Amino acid sequence: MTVDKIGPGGFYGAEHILFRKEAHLHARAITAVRGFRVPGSVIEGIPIVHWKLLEIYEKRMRIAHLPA
Amino acid sequence: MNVIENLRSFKGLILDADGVWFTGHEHRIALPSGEVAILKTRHHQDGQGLSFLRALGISVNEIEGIFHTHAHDDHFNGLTVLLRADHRIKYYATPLVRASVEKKLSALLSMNQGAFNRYFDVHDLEVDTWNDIQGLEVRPAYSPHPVETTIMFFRALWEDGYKTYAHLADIAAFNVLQDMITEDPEANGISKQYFEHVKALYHEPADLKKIDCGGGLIHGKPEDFSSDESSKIIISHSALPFSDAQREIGATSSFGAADLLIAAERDYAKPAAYAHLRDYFPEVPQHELRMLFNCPTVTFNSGSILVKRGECNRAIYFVLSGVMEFIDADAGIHNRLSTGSMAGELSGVLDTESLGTYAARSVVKTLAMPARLYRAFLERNGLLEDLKRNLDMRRFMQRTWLFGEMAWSRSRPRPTHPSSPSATTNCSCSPTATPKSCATA
Repeated sequence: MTVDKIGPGGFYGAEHILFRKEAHLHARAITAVRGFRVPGSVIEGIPIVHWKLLEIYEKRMRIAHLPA
Repeated sequence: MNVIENLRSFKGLILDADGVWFTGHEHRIALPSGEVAILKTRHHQDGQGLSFLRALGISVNEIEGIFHTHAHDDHFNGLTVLLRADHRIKYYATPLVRASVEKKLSALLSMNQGAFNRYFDVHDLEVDTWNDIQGLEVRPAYSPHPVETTIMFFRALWEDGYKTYAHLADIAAFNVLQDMITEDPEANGISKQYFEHVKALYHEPADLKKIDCGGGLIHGKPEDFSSDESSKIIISHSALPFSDAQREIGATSSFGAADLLIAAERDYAKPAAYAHLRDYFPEVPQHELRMLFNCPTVTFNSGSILVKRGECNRAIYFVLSGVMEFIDADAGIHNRLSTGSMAGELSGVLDTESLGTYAARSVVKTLAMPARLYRAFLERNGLLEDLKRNLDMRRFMQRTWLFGEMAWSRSRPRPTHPSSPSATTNCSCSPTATPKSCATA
């Protein structure tokens, strides 16, 4: 089941930053992908970024019918 | 001087707003250091809290801290606005109030209780004690209410002694408390002694006292304060008009109005702006920064355009105060930027067209730096190549929803570029990609 398509500006892997846990979902590159790997420590003290990560995480969990 | 300029020039305690039902609940305090604190926020729909701040020309990113009285919705909903800051806002409350707020917020947002600390820099206040916060002292005192609540007394030292402000949020009317008095220690209710204690607390004189009115268990009655010896009483929090008799006891106020207790002798906005520049260029000598700082300040009214999409701007604007937006309608980008952000930096330095429009969302005060001077400044300090090297990443990040609303600080840790070992392994680009010679910036 595809729960989201991630394009430029999108992101994946917030679970570890938010909850220190493994990802429930898997991301697969369907074209060549260039990305930035953002260490959690970079965004640790930035509430607005945390909030946005949480928003998208919950949206994906809802679509996947998984507990957030 | 407009309201915003006025608010920013205060030292000590200030109180703005009151009297209008939905705007009557913003009480700002300028700490002696010039930092801003908001006592409580109230709004009835999500987003209105942002509107209040915008009307005052304040970005949520400029808020240093808040004092919180209790967790009732009308004193609580604003927290969801404060969660969206680019830094952890200082949160001042007693442990009991903080615990009730944490529980409610965690339940509503489905997050762990510990997550509160991720969003706020928590500072517990000692009840019935003067807590010193950078020269501003606050004394919370528990007040009877259906949820854990404190009223707060503030004071700051000045020439004739302390100037004081009493913030009596959601207090109880005396007749309601009197009806609850019982001599039976087993029965529900309060003792006569406790009632007298609360009455004395409410009547503690202050230079300025604000009372939430409306009567009943959760709001005070102006008539209860007819013998109060405070220099000035402000009655607020009621949707209904106050009677003539009530208006003889306390003054009403309107949004944006301020009561000055301690006047400022200096402009706090500029040192704050200098700190932002310092943060932006941590490795640059002070005299070089002063050169930039000597540029003129330019103020834009709400709605004005600072830099238009497609414009080769001749000036770069460093935001000193207010809220600015970056808009690229075609790309669906609409990001909000605040103090410490720059408008037209890349296009100005590279002498190319701006990729989007920078518009003032509130009154915006800027440092207008000639683009040529700014470019020379970067060259002199060996930063131009650094800027060019990271150009792609900065353009990209600034246009994303996730990072686009943050002030880009050169001292912030940066995301790892794909060229580093920790980058994703399925990159198709050259790991040593250099900035393209773009026609636009």
